[in-house]
Amino acid sequence: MSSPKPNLGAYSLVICEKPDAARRVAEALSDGHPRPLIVGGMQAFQLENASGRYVVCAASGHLYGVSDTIANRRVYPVFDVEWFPLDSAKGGSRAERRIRAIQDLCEGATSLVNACDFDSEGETIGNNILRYACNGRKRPTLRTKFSALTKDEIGRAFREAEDDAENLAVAGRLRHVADFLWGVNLSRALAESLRTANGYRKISVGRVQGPTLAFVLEREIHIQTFVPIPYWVVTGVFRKDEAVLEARYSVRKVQTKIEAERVQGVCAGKTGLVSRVARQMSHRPPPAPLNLGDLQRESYRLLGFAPSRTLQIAERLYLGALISYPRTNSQRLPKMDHSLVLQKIGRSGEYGLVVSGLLSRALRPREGPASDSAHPAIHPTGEIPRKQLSREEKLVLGLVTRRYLACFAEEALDEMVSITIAVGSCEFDWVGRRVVSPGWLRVYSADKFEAAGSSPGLKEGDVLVVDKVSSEEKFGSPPSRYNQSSLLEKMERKRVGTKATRADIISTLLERGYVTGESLTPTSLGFSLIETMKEYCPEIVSVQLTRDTERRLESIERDGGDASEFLEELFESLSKVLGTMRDHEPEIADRMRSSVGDAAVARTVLGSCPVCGVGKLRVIRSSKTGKRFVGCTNYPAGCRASAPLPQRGKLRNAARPCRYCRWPVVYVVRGRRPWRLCVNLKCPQKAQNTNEVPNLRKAS
Amino acid sequence: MKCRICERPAKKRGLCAYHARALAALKRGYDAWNKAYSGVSWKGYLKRVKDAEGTGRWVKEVITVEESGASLD
Repeated sequence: MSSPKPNLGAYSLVICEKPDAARRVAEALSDGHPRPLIVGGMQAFQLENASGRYVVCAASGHLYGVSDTIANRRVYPVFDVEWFPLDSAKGGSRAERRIRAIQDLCEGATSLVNACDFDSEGETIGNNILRYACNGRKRPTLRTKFSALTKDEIGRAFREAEDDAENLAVAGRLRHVADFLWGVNLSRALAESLRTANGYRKISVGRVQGPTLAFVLEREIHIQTFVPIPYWVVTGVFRKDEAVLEARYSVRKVQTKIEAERVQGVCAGKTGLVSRVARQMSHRPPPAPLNLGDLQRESYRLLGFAPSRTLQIAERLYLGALISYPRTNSQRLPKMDHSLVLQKIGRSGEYGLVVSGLLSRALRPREGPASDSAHPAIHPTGEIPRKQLSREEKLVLGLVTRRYLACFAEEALDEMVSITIAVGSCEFDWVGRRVVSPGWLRVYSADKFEAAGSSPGLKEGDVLVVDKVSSEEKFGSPPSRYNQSSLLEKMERKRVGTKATRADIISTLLERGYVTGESLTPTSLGFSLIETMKEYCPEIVSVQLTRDTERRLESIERDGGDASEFLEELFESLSKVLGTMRDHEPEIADRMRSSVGDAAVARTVLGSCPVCGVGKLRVIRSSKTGKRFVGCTNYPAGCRASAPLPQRGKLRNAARPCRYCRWPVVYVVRGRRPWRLCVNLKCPQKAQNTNEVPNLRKAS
Repeated sequence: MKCRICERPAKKRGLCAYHARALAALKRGYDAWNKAYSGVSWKGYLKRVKDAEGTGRWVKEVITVEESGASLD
């Protein structure tokens, strides 16, 4: 049943990307008093100001997605794609309801304003709505560009609204089409190859996933073929009166045992002479303002948040008008009066002292080299939160605020002292550093700085007693595995993916079971996928393909370009790759069969069996009833550990077993909030909870 | 033909690309170890590398085959 269409007279329809953004925009344009309006179950706002009448409505992210026109998932290659309302196959989707409401509002609008986030994704969202829901943009259309959802910034954006430019939208739409075509065709080609192999067929690969997974694999190969090489570290303990100094032999890594022993022999029974004392002041400039990559890395390093989680939190803070737009490459703050923002920040007790110190001198922020034409570096707005922030929101907001303050602070000053001690022909070094003036370190205190200490009071010509010279045998270490933060950095450095998608790509690799663990380790499925791709479709794992695609899209975004030429080249590359894959379907199936089987089993394993201690507890589906339950792989040897499971909802394994009974814990994903469940029916914690209920009743 | 150590296809000397790379690293490492200790036997070297922290899994697998007496050369 459709709701009656509103009769609102003449107005401009403003389309925002998210409902929270729509509310902020409406409040900013109406001095805080927009009139709520419900259209087709969707909340919109109407308002009037000096520039005219407005209705502000919102998408909820993407309302349209690319899909193929053929409903058969076994068909490839697929080249014929269209934009459809998301989840339209299910009928009456949330996206479709929202689209209908926007269509209704659009009918009475005299002009349209695209107020979605100003970047490739936002432009794609807005452009699709204008194109499909607003009847092909037959009305005058304006584009607003703002980087924070504050009243001042939104007001400025509406005053300076420009004619809607197409380039960014064309590039954004092409990126979606290219990603869909690579992803759907390769995934179907792999699935078809494996169709006869076994039951697990959900294997996906894409033009960004491929090279990213290849980075992880390359590192793993390095680690697993690593041979440690020995070296020796020679250390001398020197004494003068009460002062004891431990110094390292000037050759940091002595390559041979015989040389290490020679140094020990030379120094035995000798005295050391302080041959050089050098003091040097070193300046540590403040850090540059944060772009998205910096924020994700710092958040991982200091708060332990995965990059995708950081982006989600940052987006919430942006929608709350607490920070500027987070999807930015820029390390440069906007040209504005920062003293106003600093004053707002200073009103909170936490930063009052720091801010008054900063405001007492000329404000000149440090800037980094990276720039972004669309948005400045991430910075706080100084606005007061309207609602209670969650713990993680407070932490990320604190991080952004401190980094912003640090950009205006003085540089830190260190004193470096280096002492050289000569013992015969051998030289030993002692190097110390102390912070003389902490400067920005005081603000960005997450960067720990050494407590100011004194260097040993030695001068040139001092004679020291050699207490002991020892050598320690050591071995070289393999490189560390990537974690989510260092992999993100690698992707940035190699220009793989975009700022908006990199974190999601890493999450996808984890979700698909191609990599596992905090230190990202490729699984056998990840290995065989990349090995197979390298052999039959090397383009998809090469950095070159994704880099070239991005370069072409950036050029279209910047200067415009021929979309059909881009698509023709894409079809040509795809046809070549898919032809090779079709010719080698049996070989591909052969290469991937065992790892796909292992992965299928691994995905059902929840953890070790605490009953027998030998088998693994895994999710099994009963062949009689079709119901799922937990059983032990050691069943044939007599282990009868089992437990029922909820029959609905997706199951996600928790990282750790139950701390009360050591049985696995799962998250049941059904509805909005996952439900945490220890699978053991007899878990002592459950018994405790059951006992607590009567007690509470008694108490009441 | 499959690798003598794992299920991957063999490339050369009956080893897959990874185990072949591990064998090459092992041989290169022997020169460095020989120099570091002024002479070390191949067997002694293998034993110490196998026990050392940081040695890669594929290197250890190659060593196991070498120790079993089946030469990979």
